[in-house]
Amino acid sequence: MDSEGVVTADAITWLFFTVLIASVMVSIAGARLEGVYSDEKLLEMRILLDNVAEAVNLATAGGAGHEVVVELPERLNHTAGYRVFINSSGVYGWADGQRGFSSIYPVVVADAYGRTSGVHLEPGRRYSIRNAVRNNRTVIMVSGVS
Amino acid sequence: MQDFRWSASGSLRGQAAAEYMMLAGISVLLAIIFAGQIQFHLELMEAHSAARTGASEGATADTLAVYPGVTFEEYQSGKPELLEPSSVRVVRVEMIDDGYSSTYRMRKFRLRAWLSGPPMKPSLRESISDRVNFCMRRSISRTFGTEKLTNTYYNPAFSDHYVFTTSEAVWV
Repeated sequence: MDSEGVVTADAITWLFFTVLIASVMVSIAGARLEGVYSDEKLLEMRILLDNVAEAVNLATAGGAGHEVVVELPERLNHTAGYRVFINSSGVYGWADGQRGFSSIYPVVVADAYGRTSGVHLEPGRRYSIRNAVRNNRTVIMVSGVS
Repeated sequence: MQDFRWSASGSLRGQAAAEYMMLAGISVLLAIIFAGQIQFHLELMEAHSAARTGASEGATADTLAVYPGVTFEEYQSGKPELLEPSSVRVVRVEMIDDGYSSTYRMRKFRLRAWLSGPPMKPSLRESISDRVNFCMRRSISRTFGTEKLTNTYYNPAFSDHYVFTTSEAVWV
């Protein structure tokens, strides 16, 4: 008798349950991976905001003339665009509808033209954060560098 | 289980033993019943896993203090403490069977997260708990593609055969 191409009932049952369990596993793994991806983006934003806030605090603590240069990445997690804004209360960040904040030591923050309403930082650029004294007051000047 | 082959001998061609047919019939019946039960169990397992993923997402948002725009503005004006990173951790997610719900005509489960974190005001803990609960419900709705069946707050969340609600997290 030709026994080629014969599949036992054991094999069919095993295959059925394996496919059933594997489909659920794939779904769970997919959801977990999406979660990890999302967490990574939030984490990068938190690190970026804290780095910028730390640079501002370092410049403040370093005294007149102290300068710190920060370089911003083009994108968060290689995909998400973002925005960063600094004012006297802290550093604010926006990415994909999410917002974060990192506090700084309260100090006047000004842009390259001396405007103190806050400074927007653009992704992919380098910025100089410098401690400058104006009228006996500490002012943190934020300006782009090439 | 024995494999079945049609007999090749002349008079028995196309014949199968009655015992074999009965055994095969019962096996198929049992397999169908078990498959159904396993499918329901797998659905619950998938929903539980989705809830854990969601709880973890919510806790991460609180740990990193990065929130959706509306929530951020709400916290900025009322709960600025939540804008600072903290160390909230999900210990476990409990699934409590509330039995058959006549409202939804489905079996209802209640999810309760067990969280651990630094000492903080009850109102702040309540906000964190709400965030974690929201993320759990959203994760279940997304996993089963049932966002259209529920409301903006994903309350309740639906899987294919069950309905899920959440209750205040337990802090340990």
